[in-house]
Amino acid sequence: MTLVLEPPVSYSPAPQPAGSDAGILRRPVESTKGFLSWVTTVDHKRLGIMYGCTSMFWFLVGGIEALFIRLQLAAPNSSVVGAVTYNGLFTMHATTMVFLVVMPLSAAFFNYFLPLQLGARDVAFPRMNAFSYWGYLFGGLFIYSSYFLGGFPNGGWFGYAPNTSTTFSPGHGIDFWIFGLQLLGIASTVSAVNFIVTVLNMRAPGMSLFRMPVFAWMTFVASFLMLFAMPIITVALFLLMFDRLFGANFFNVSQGGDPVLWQHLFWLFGHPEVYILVLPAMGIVSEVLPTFARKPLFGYPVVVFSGIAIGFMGWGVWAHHMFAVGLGTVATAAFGVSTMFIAVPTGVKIFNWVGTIWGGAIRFTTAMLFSIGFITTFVIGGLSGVTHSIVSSDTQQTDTYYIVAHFHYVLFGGAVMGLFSGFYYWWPKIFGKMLNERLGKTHWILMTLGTHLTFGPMHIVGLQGQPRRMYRYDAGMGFDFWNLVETIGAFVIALSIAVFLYNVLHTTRKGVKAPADPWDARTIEWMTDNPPKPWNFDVVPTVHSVDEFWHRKYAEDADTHRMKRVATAEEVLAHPAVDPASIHMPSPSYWPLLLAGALTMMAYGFLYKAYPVAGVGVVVLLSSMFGWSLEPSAAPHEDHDDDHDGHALGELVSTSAAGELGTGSAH
Amino acid sequence: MPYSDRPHSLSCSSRFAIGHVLRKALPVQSLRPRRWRAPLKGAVATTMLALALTACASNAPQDGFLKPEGPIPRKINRVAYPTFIIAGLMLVFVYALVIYCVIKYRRRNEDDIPVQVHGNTTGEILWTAGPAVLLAVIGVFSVNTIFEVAKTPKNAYDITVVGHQWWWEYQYPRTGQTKLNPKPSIVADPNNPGRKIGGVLKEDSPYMSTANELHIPAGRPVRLAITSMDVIHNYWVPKLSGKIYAIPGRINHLNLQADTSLVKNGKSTTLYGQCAEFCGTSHANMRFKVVVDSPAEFAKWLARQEGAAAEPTTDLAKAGQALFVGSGACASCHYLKSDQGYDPTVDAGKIGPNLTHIGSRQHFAGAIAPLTDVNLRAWLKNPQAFKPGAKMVIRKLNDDEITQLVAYIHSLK
Repeated sequence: MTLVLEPPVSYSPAPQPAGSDAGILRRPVESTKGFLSWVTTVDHKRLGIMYGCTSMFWFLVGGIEALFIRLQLAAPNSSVVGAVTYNGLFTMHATTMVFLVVMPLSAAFFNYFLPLQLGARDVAFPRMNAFSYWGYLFGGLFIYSSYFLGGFPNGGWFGYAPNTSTTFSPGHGIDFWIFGLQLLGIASTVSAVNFIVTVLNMRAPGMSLFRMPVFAWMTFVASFLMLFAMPIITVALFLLMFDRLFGANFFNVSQGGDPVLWQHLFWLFGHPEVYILVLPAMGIVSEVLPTFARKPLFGYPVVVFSGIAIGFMGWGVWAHHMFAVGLGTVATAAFGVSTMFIAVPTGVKIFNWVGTIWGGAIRFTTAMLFSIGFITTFVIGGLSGVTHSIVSSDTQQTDTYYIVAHFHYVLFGGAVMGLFSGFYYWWPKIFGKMLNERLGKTHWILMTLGTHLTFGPMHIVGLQGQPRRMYRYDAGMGFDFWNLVETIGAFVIALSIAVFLYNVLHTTRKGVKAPADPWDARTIEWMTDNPPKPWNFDVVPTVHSVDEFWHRKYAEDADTHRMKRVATAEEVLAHPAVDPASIHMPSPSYWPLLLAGALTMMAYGFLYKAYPVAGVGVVVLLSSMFGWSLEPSAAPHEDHDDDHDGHALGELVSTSAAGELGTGSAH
Repeated sequence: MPYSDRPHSLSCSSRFAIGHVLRKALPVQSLRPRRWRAPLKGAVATTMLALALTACASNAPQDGFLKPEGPIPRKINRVAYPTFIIAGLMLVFVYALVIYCVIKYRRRNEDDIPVQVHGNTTGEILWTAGPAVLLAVIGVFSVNTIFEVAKTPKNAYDITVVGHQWWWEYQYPRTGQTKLNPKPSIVADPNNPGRKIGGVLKEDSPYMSTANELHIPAGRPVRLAITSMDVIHNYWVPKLSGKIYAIPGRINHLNLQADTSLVKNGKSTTLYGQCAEFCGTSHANMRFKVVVDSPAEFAKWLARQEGAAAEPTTDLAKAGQALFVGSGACASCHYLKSDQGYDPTVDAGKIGPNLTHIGSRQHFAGAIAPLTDVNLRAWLKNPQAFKPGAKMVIRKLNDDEITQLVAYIHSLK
């Protein structure tokens, strides 16, 4: 790969270039500071931060929706919100948490850490990466704009036909949901391609696939799942869109359509989606546990292969969301059995994680607590998942709070805990400061307590027959007490998030500067500065094992055959000075932003059947594609302010090192 | 080195496992474990107590897990209980392992570098194969139960169930008829004639139509044929059976059977039911009741339901009848003939529940409210305030008119 031409330099007003990029869309090559530099950036680390910030914003929004839901359900027959609002709230809570929080928050970690863990300078397609982010941002804003333009969609995140048809859901709510998810789907598909190519092509010298850190592996598997799952939901949404906009009859029974087709398509996407949500967290946990247990991941190949197995088997279990649909005995039996067996690779992972900490030297940092918390909550969700695979038993539990309990244990107690583990573990890498551990542990305790208080009792009321998606329930059904407990739990979770946000604020203001190797880490993303330079590594390390960094710090003592520290992190990280001019980085670009904007414009145009608006969108779209394809990934030399370049590089240049480097095109 | 382990102050002597673990997980010096231990212990104790209380909670009328009232949920529980127990044991096992590791393998000091174990093939094969075999065994019983529950019982009583937004319609074979034979037929959407919807039933033998309250004879297997006239619904009587979707254009079947013990001294028992799939605005208000009668009582009920609507006797009720049948009034949507359910091939406008014997029902409006004067008045005043999104369109009635209508409704025994 030859990306990378120019090191970033600080902003100075650039002269109008003679080249073809002149005019209003002149490439903002010189601006690496300020708002414009963020808008046009293609740096995977900045995009990772942008993904993270945006998804944390939506996390708060989705959380507030959850609090309203819990307030409404705190007591029987209460009227905090009405039926219509409630239906909108649970639709948006799920849509937000799945598409706008957990997926992009995972993408934030993919973005920031995949290239670092691979020893790459960026992802394979930096501008496509920026496009994915803008598609995500606009998609989220687009769906939420429905609130101001006629009300939230309220057909559920699963949008079952024919309830989502124009007959039963007039108004634009569902249309916002359809087009918004399409935008998000495009963004996800593009980033899936990007991460797959990055993994396949951009690994450091010596890093075979089986020397990749497990997080990179799980990114790889999750990206394949995304690559194949997103087109399915895209097709389903297109069919629904045609039904709604143009009177097509894909799901209209009277014209030979079939509402069950929607369910098959949705869950054929929806089940792999569950693994898209949880695999990244599993990857994070597989990084954190070895670091703080001071042992390599137990059974690395088995953990990787079980991840791949989950990735494959995830395609063969979708109908377990449909056991009450009436698919027939043989079909439900087959899907029941396949669902049972997907528990095997998941169980293998759990046992291997236990094997990792078994015999280790565990240090209870906040990151470690969240990872152990991941195991202990996720295993509850996993085991309740096994109980769903008993088909006839599931016909009792499906559509009750037992299911709500199950997937919140998997996705909140599992995925979200894993992602928070990632925050605490990698914060020093991203921002160069240590999150406060005392606040972090308070966060962990409150969140663990809140999780079990909120979602634990849902098992009970679910088995007692409380159905989901109900804005009210009667007194005397046995639901009152536990629903109140759940509501209290939800506010405990909210408090824990407040503690986290305070921690972030506190750390940003007064946080301790992170040392080079704060956790005695094992993998190569730690073999560079905190935060890394825009080009990530001055010298890309040659990789000999999964735990490359660890093995450079520790070696076996010849006499005792015990591991012994042989080098400090600083010694490992020391390297001859490098001339950044020899490292070629891609240049910022407007086109990703414009392209994503054009798609959003088209969505509004089609939604309101304002075809001129859609037409303008198409024109902008085509010209953006045109401009993009004509623009070299790195700006030509005359676009840069040479004087300034020379000045900025002066301090960094070392004539002796330039020759040894040669990493700009190492892959 | 930035890397340092904090000293662990392990002065506490408690051996209470959870508190022990949590204390270790806590930042020991800063948060003072002694202060945290009591509330944590309290929380754990409260949880245990609460769990114990749940087990004996008796006021859960929709609990089909602990308190089934028919052979089918019991059959389901025969495979569900062992699975739950095995899952519970697995949970305890994993927690024990984690807790053991957390206690035993704390880092002692900076030089505490464990043996770098990379895996254990035997162990990994064991914990792959072990659960797989265990699951395979459970799978045999699970699959067996699927087929058992779905089997058409002998001597089953046929009832057709039609889901509407947001109430359930029941069609019974008329006395002398043994079977119903529902077929889907495609019709126009009565709310929107330009557009067709589907899945409405056409029975090919005479039947009796009623709504919201399903009467069944105790002890006799019942086979429901279930469909929907609009969106997808989900029919569920937790104490009698699992769920099955009501899907427009399709007919699904569900077996039910209520224990004879539910009828004591000839007295019927009412069970709770609920639409379980989100079906629009008033999904939460799409409930129903199942009345389990003795066979004799059931035969009496059926005979009465098949009869013609009662003629009103009081002046008030007569005035109500006049309001009811007037043009553009109640009767344009509601049948007062028991042998006619929703069948748009006969009359597409009759989209409301059959009210021929409404006065004999205990509940109305999706079975969310008892059929009392107060509730009926509130309903007739503003149906949408009573049940959000309700499809009933009604002109503004004055208090006298409401009184007359309520009297008439009560007279329709």
